[in-house]
Amino acid sequence: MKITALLLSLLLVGCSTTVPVVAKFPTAPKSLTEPCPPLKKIEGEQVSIVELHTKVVENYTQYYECAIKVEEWNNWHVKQKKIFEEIK
Amino acid sequence: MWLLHLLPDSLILFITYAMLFLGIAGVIVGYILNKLTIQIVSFIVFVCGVYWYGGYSTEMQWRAKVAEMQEKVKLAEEKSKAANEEIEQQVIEKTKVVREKGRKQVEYITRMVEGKTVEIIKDMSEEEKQAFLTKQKELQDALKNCPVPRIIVEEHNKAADPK
Repeated sequence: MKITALLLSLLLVGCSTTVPVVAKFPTAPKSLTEPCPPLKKIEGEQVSIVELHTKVVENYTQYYECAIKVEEWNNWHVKQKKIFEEIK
Repeated sequence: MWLLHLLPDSLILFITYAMLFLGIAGVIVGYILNKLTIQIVSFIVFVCGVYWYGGYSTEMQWRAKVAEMQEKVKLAEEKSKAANEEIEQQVIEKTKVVREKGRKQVEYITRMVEGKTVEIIKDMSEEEKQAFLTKQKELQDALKNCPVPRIIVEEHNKAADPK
């Protein structure tokens, strides 16, 4: 009886099969994960148009840097998705 | 079949073949000796052997699939790393171009204000030079006579504030 029970239990474990392979979620590059800094403000009481221009240019530059990050985030997502789908 | 993961391939195969062989041999011996018990036990062993052989084949197929998947995952991880490096490089290069453009624009105006325009006008035609000098004078006059109104600075700062 004991042997029969053992044999049956051995036979019953036949359907449990798992695939021990897990694809790790890729880590995004550090430069993309840094938050965009706040825009710069104009300091001082007497402000010349040159200072105003400089600050505006600095802020535009900052915007474009941030736009690059967004563009590259999208690029990263498209590439990583394609790589992930190739695994299947 | 998870039990099979714990055993080496050769041992599984040995046990399987042994069970098949013993099963068949037992059935024959039982038939010759006319012992029904031996025949029944041997038949059960044979059936178990067949089951194990099927399990072994499935296990081998799964192991092959696992190996294939592991290879694919490894390749994907390498590709992913390369893509990350490429993107990181693109961010650095594009940022450098944008910063350089901004720096040049600020420098251009600073030179106009300070009068250090030799480099800027050296390749200009007479007409372009005159137009440039007019703009420079206009800028210098504005600097002397037109300070930026406080309200403009305040509104600029408000616009720069996300809240």
